[in-house]
Parts: sequence; C-alpha cells; structure tokens
Amino acid sequence: MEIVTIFDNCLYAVKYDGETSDELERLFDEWSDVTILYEFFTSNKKDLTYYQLNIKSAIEETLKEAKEFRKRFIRLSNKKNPNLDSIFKNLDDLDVRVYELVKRKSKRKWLRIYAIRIDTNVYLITGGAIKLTHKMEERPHTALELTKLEKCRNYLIENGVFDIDSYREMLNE
Amino acid sequence: MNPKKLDNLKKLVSKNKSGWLEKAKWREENESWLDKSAKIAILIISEIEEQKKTKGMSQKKLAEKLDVSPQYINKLLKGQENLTLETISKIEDVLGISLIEIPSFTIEEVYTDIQLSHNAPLSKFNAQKVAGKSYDYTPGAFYVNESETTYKPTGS
Repeated sequence: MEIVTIFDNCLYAVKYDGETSDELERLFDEWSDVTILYEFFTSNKKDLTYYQLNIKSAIEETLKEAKEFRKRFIRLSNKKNPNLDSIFKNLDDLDVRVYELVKRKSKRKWLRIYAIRIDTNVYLITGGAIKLTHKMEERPHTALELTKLEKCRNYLIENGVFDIDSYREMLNE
Repeated sequence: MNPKKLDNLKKLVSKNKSGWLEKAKWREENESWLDKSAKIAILIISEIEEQKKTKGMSQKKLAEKLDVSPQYINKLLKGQENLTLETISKIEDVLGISLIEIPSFTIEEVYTDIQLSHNAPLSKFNAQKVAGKSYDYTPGAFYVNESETTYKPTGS
C-alpha cells in the first residue's frame, strides 16, 4: 500500500498494490469511461428500477455528476486551506460525531468517495463507488469499500497515525 | 491538530504524486468534445448490444467492417476519442444509425426598421416604408405581392 499526495499537507489517497493509479485518479477514470459504466449498469440493472432510469440515461447521469464532482475537487485544489471537513461527512448520515480516524464519505447523487479523517481538514481517500442501494453491505462492490476503509484505518493505527488519547476518550464516551 | 500524528503520516507519504489533478484539468479544458465523444460512445455501445441479438454484431465485427483494429474500437467506446467526421460516417453506415445531426440551413430576410407581430399587423404605412409600393396590408396577409417577400409574424 502506498499513500500519495492529492493536495499538499491535507488530502491524500491510497494506491493499492498492483494498481496503476491511486484511488481518486482511478475513480474519475472509471466514472468517465463509457465501457466501464455500461458494464456496471448492465450488471446492476435491477438497482436502476428505483431511479426509473435505463442504462443509457444512467451513464449520462453518471458522466454529468462525475464532471460536477471533479469541478468541486478542482476548486478545492485552488484554495490555500481547503475546508475538507465540509465535503466529507460520516458514513452514517445520522451520525455527526467527530472521533479518531472516523470513516467518511463525499457524495454526489450515487457517486461516493470514501476517506478517513486523520485530523481537522486532513483526509486519506481509501476508495469510492457507485452506490445504488441503501446499505453498503447490500452489494459486493460497496461492501468491498467498507473492507478497504477498515484495512486503511488499521494501517494508519499500526503506523502511529493515531491519537491514543482521543481514542481513549472515544471508548469512555 | 496533533503534530506527532501528522509527522507519522508524512513518513508514510510517497514521493510519487497523484496524476489526478493533471487529468482533471485536461478533462476540463477538453470538456466540450469529450461530452460529445461520450454521447456517441453510448449510442454505439447500445446499438452493438441491440444488434447482437438480431445481426450478430459485436465490437470485433464492427472493427472488421470498419477495417480498424479491435483495440481502436475499445478506445473509441470509452468515450474519450476525438473522432473524425469520416470515422463517424463510416460507423453510421455500418450500424445504420445516426450519431450526429447537422442543422439544416434556412434563408430568412430580416428588416430591422419595422416590427411585425400578430398584435400589430403590417400597416399601410409600414408596408410602403419597406418597399415604397402599394401592397396587400389586410390583417393576416403578411406578405408583399409584387416582391414575393414573405414577412414572418413575430411573437407567435
């Protein structure tokens, strides 16, 4: 596992072993690749029923949303101290707590970028997905993202990127 | 902020930078044609799928009919290829579909010194101002007989 810089001193992404790109680069590559999107929505056609969209429209919608998502990150890249806490929220929408190495997401429609909050406005992107179901556990590709989040969190703890006092406070809550 | 924690993080960070920003800026600069290329790719990939059942169409078969490599078709279907009009036309012929449409041209004479509308039909005064001749200016007759010039009512 390798950690690469996205924005200096505040946003990082994981590059997994065997991958040619880090996770942020991979996500935006996949979200703009018509072949990949066609295969994805064909395999997950049933989940599109809820959105009342066919495969063609779902691809167009993804391309459009990915473009806006990309613009959001480009705007942040132009800021000196980007407010990343404002775009990454806890995985559980109802949970607003801030605790040590909390797992978070940034989203646009069904697009998700998953990250771990290391400190105030400091994040590590662990992956992302097109989430068409309510729970991440419901589909293998989103369940995999939960595993990646956990794996990366453990990696940070093992390497001392971890505030033991904050962790104790969280356990005592 | 916890300095020790951030110091430990920095020890883990590779010297290799992400290629994300460079790609994102390139996509931003080329957004207009990339959008069109993606839409064309969606149409082609859907049509191949449609004709798979009826005509046995496939990406490989399309490549053969276009006399290009299957790798080129793979690239084209990603929706990030700057296609030429020649390529688009050949694909249209092979698949029997329309991928792009060019608007037809219409010729319209525009007179700026008078305003015509349903509410204010061509008056005798204005008609004579246009051509200096006597014309049919009854309500609804939005044309000048002798010059054959047609006046298009506005505001409809």
